[in-house]
Amino acid sequence: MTTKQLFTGLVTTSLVLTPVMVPVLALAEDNNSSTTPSSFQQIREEYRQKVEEIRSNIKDTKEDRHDDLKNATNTDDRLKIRDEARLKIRDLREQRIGALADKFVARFTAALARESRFITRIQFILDQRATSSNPVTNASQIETKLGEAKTMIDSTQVLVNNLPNQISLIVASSTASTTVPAQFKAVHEAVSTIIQDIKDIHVKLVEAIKLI
Amino acid sequence: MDNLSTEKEPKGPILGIIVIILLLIVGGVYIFLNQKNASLSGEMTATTPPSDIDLGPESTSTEATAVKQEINATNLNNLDAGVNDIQTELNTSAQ
Repeated sequence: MTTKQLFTGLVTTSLVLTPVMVPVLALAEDNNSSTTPSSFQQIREEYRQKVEEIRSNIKDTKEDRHDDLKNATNTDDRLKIRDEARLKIRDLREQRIGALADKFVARFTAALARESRFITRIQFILDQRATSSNPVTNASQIETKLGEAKTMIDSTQVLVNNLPNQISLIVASSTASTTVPAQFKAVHEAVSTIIQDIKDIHVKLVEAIKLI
Repeated sequence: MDNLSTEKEPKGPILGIIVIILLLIVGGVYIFLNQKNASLSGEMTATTPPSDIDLGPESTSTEATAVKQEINATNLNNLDAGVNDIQTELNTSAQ
């Protein structure tokens, strides 16, 4: 066998295999793209560790403050140590609440992305059927619902992106008259509004798919 | 014998080129036909942020029954899981 024949054979084989391998690889990619239960646990563990790390930092700061106060020689020094530690602890506690807010942002963004992918798939079915001999009879009604869902996804994503700032403002705006239950009520309302929006979007898609 | 082998030699590469061209055409048609599906699949896997809760099974199937099943299997009940942790943090901060 000459080098040319060998080269031609190799090229031919790879070209023959390409159309076979492309769908196989695409299928493998699809299987990998789904999040497994262990990865949910891993993400939960990462958040837990982050919060725990900040908690540990707060504990260290308190211990350092205690030691520094012991070694302080006058009242001015003691006051300075207390103020510095208070600011540091407040900052760390805000970080801890921020980490919790980030968890909700990731969760809500994932839910909205999932709804968005459903819209893409339903739209694909409509487009595919429109060019076939079996078009969807309620296509315009479905497209209206998909359009409404898309608009709601965009506006809810804005709320989701703003959630950490909103929580920070609620926490930072605490005054003597602001109680923890009032603060939590405000945070809970912000979270609940987003969750209700996601559920409303989902209802639109349930209604849309029923019409196909 | 030498004459025979030199006459046969040029046919191999020509046949090979014809096969390659035919396969390129088949491959081109295949890619064209699957372009829509590929872009759809890409669009659906591009923006998946990591979440700590399972929202339900999800594929990239464009069969109406599969989409319907996955929409119905979507679990949005745990979206507020852990919201009380914020209250705990707020309580701790207030102390």
